[in-house]
Amino acid sequence: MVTKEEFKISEESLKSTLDNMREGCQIISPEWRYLYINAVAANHGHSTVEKLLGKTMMEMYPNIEKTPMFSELEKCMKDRIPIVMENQFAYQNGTKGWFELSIQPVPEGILLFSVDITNRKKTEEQLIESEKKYREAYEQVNFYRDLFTHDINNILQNIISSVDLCFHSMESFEQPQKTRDILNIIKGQVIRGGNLVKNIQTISQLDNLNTPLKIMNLTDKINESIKYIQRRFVTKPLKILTDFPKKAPLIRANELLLDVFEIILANAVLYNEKPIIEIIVKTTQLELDGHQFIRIEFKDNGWGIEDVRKELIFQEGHHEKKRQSGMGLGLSLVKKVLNSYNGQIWVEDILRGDHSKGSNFIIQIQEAIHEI
Amino acid sequence: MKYSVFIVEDEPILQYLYESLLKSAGYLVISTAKNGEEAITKFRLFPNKPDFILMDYRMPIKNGLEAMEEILRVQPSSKIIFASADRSIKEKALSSGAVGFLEKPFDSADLIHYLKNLGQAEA
Repeated sequence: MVTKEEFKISEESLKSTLDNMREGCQIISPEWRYLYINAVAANHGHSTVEKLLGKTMMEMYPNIEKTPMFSELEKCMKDRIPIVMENQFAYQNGTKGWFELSIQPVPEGILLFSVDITNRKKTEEQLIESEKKYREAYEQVNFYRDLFTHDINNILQNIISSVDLCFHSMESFEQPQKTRDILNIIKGQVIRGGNLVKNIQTISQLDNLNTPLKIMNLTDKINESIKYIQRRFVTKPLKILTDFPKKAPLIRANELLLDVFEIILANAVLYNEKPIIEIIVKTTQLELDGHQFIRIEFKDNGWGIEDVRKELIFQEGHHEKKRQSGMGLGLSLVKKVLNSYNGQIWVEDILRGDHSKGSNFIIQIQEAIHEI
Repeated sequence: MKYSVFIVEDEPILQYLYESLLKSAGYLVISTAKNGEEAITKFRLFPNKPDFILMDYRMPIKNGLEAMEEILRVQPSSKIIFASADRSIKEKALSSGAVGFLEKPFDSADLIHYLKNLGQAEA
């Protein structure tokens, strides 16, 4: 038989144990009043033992009765069954905390043990985010590897077939002009291989660095790119016309802007079988939503782009892209660079509805004139 | 007998090189197509179907496998040889009806040898 004295000592010992636990502990009455709460549990609720004792949960935490956690408390109180759950608790100051709750029925009502698992949850979320980033990086590497191996193998195929043809024409004493043409193909393919490597390097540079933007003279950059293209395709029947405003527009960009123009211009030359390859580069200033923009148009008389490919050619990592060849990495790189300038690019038919008459690649980018 | 070949390849330079090589080896190149869709359309219209089709895989609009499927539906005995940089589709191409697969980059002599053997088998 336990004496009253012994019972009191035992109750005090239990209270002291609960008070000093590392877990939060609280006893709630059937009227949702705090009968007991230790300092850890009060701290979990961003409150104190003194403020909570004797008050109801609804008084202290308005709208708590509408939460999924409260439904579980009700279930335990009513059905007298233990429940274990993870709960996200939203504080009045807008912050949130995660808790692991163990809810037990006791003669006084319900007993709640709580463990703060906010840090664990944050780590889990960071892990998921990190896994997502690694997955994206892995997919990107696969995508570049796929494109690179495809394009480089095509280049090598062009070279090996050209060499075979050269041997053949040497044996049969065919026209020297044909041999010259084939040697030019080999030379062109070596340049193409070099550009492919350069594009891969530029993409990894873009992925790894935040190249700072500076104010640039747009007309100078376009002219520089045109000169490069004229040197690169010196044997092609090339006619490049320009239409620029008198006062050269300024934009915020970096050295990758030259790559953008060179890729678009090179595509206009490479994907064109006309006797004279014509390219018109035009820049115009326009106002959109109160901001000054520059529109740069590259009009060509090449193969053109079918409607189904008009968006796909700029997409990176899109599964459809794996089915295509041709412009390869170039245009996805162009889009990526322009995105980093907050610019846009799209392609239209020169003659609406008939892509075979050539393409108009349009870049739209904010003018930097007001910033200097 | 001069065997006829239909070239399906989206790279114009490669189209030109294949055509020159095959012609110099005594083959008749009846036509070329720069994507799977064009290949199907042209194939349907040929009054005399080609003896061989040299088919790339990665092309705009319709890829080589899709084009092959349609072509074999029109003429199941068509002899399609894939010339592709995509090693991963080799098994799929062969199990779907291609008679050969050349992985780019390949020697032109291999292509000619391939066609010669196929021609002999046919004869």
